Amino acid sequence: MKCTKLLAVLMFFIAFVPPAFSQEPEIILNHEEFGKHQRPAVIFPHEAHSTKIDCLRCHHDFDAYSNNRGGEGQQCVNCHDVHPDDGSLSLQEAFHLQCKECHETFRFQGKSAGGTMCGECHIRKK
Amino acid sequence: MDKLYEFLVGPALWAAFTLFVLGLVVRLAYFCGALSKERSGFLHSCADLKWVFGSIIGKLVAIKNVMSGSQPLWGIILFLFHACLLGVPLFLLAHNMLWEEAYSMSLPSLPDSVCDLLTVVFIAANAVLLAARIVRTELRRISTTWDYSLHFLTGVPFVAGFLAYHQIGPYRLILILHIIFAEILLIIIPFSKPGHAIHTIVTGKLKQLQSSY
Ligand code: HEC
Ligand code: HEC
Ligand code: HEC
Ligand code: HEC
Repeated sequence: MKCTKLLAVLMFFIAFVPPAFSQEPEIILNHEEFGKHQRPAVIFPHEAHSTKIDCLRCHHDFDAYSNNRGGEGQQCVNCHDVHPDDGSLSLQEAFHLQCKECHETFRFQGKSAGGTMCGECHIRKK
Repeated sequence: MDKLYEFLVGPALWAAFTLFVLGLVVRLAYFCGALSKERSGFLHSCADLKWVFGSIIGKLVAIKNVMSGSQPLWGIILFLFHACLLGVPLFLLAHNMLWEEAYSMSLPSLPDSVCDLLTVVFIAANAVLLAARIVRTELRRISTTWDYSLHFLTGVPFVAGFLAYHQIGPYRLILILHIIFAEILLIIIPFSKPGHAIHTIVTGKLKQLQSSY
């Protein structure tokens, strides 16, 4: 009896508790590093991207020879400051450049993709 | 609609901006030319800087008189209208972000909440001025269709911008209307008879001053 209960609990965990490194289907991008947000948070369907697009296209960690060794699991803000003092890409520019540029190219080719206008990504809750 | 958007923020924006600058140059030349009729020609009066500045300062003084004189409220509303008309688009965060992305240069920007408020102020000032035009007979008599069109043409980009920011209505369509009408406005501004409204008041005021001497 006890054994089956234990087994049931074990089964439950295996079935429903996600493994440590799996990703949420949607990530809400609302970094507190920005302070008070001017625009509504961005709902980013990570899974819809990661199943079609190579992880390395977005996640990067360049070595001394500019090889991209991948930076999955790291947050963009680890390397892209909100107010960088060395004139490098700010966090906001990093997001906008990466997200918008790709969507623009896709849409320009007539393919479906995410937003390019402010309100298509920063969507207000109705 | 994506292609239209790309076109509007790309080539169409360049065209509108070029026409804006060209329009200003033409307008300025016209201004000097018209003033110089009673004098000895275009180049002469342009070279006669003292006289040109004198006439500009004369106008400014007259405007100041209106603001501090018999109609201060009128002056304040006119000031708010023009300050917001120029200030909001120039210092809006979203515009400056796009300029930074496209041309790697931008101006300092105001917080979105401030611009939101100033947009409402602009729309209200526009409405008050339009109402005055319709209600006050002395203004109505001298108002042309063009004057009414200018209320409409300056109003639409602000109303559409406000709706787009608050995501009221069909977002993409409204943002595209915002851009189209803003570009039309940019082309029109040099020919908008600056001081069309002020001018009438100022001349009225000047006549009043002259008759009191
Ligand atoms: C379209 C771009 C894109 C693609 C493709 C992509 N990711 Fe991501 N991923 C992101 C963004 C953006 C975040 C959020 C990072 C942040 O919060 O700073 C993220 C977050 C993550 C996180 C969570 C990091 C954390 O600490 O919250 C993991 C893990 C991850 N991605 C792994 C992957 C893997 C594995 C793949 C390939 C199968 C992949 N990603 C493909 C853009 C992408
Ligand atoms: C491990 C540090 C690191 C992480 C994490 C990181 N970046 Fe970067 N990123 C860099 C460096 C370094 C550069 C500069 C590369 C260069 O100059 O060639 C860069 C360049 C960029 C660029 C401009 C170059 C280009 O065309 O790709 C964008 C856009 C960008 N990052 C976006 C992001 C986003 C979005 C994330 C989060 C998903 C992210 N970065 C995470 C280090 C990082
Ligand atoms: C490498 C290209 C690429 C990058 C980078 C990218 N996207 Fe996308 N995005 C796409 C494509 C392609 C689709 C369409 C997916 C589909 O139709 O299934 C899409 C779809 C979306 C959608 C869903 C739109 C809808 O109608 O459901 C959102 C939201 C979105 N992206 C946000 C983002 C954000 C936020 C980022 C930056 C963190 C980003 N994307 C980065 C290519 C990209
Ligand atoms: C492709 C999607 C996308 C588009 C289009 C986009 N953004 Fe963003 N933006 C993002 C993401 C993702 C972030 C990061 C949000 C976070 O993590 O907090 C961001 C951050 C910001 C921030 C900093 C955080 C804040 O709210 O204060 C501002 C401001 C901003 N965006 C304004 C704009 C404006 C203005 C436009 C239109 C000109 C625009 N964005 C278009 C995706 C987008």
